[in-house]
Amino acid sequence: MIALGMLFLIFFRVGLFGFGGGYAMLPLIYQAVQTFGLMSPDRFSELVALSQVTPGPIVINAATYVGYQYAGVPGALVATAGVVTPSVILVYLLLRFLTRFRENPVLEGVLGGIRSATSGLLFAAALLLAQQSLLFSSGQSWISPAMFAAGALLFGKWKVNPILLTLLGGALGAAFIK
Amino acid sequence: MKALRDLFLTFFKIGTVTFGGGYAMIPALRHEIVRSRGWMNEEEMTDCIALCQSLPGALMVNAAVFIGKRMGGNAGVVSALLGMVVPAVASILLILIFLERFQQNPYLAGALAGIKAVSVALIGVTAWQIARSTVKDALGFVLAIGAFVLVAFAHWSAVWAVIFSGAAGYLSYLFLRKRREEKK
Repeated sequence: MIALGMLFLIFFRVGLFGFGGGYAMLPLIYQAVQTFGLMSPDRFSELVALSQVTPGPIVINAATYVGYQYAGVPGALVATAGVVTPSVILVYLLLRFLTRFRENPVLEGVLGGIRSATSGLLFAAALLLAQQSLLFSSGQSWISPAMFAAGALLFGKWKVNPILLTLLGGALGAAFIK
Repeated sequence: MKALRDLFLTFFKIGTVTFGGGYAMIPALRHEIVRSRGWMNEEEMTDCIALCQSLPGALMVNAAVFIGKRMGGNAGVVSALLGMVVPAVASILLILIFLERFQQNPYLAGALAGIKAVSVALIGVTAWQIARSTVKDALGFVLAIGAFVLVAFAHWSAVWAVIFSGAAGYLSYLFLRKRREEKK
């Protein structure tokens, strides 16, 4: 029981201080794994690979993985609950704050700035993913760039469902990219 | 009850078919919430993303809580969160329990490469659409480009871009207010 309580607190801390989500939170988890000896650190690289091929938020994948290695299925559930709880608390506070200060020009000003930055952050995410997947590197076959172009056209111009496009991308990739 | 079921199913769908988390999930989130369900309009969605990325924690977990609370109160939060979290937890547990060691499968690697190529397109198009609706003046343009350069080339954390752009938005509000008062 004490062990599960500690696991919850460790992941609560990760959720509370893990700004930037996803990959930005993995170092925090690695640090926790090392400090508290939750599992053997050399399995961490497997965790990173695994969280990429499994669906859903990387942080949830990672919490489940570490929690399971430490204390089986109960550990997986407790670690996941721990990393999610700060989100629930903070978003509740945020929504309360928003309803109280709705129409507040200061908030509108701040939010206006963040809104503009959001598109820049998304472009950055797209570029980093392109680099990481070597999409435009010279040795690459033409299949990936072609899929990129087709995806952009189908989604941007004809508004095809992005979930369908993702599934198609996976199927075509499995068939043609080796 | 139907609303709660719809919340769960929507987030379950997004949580099942998107890989790599965070920004890779935004195109599907926008499509499902704005176009398929009509729960929010484009502007509300952009604000939801802008706000959820400003908080610590996983972007999509924050978004599930945000949208769940708006659409169905506390029960809505539980539905949306479960929908988002269950596929992520279940997939890891299934692999850990049934495959001793995770094995690198060439078909899986190919599928991932295909998904990534499409994801780059989806995120890029979404970025363009959000830029068109949010960048309305010179300041907005500078902030968008600034955030892009800071994160993509200087490899700063996105948190700094959020903090700086929020501060810039506040300063521009102060500046505009002062100018308005001087005119009077």
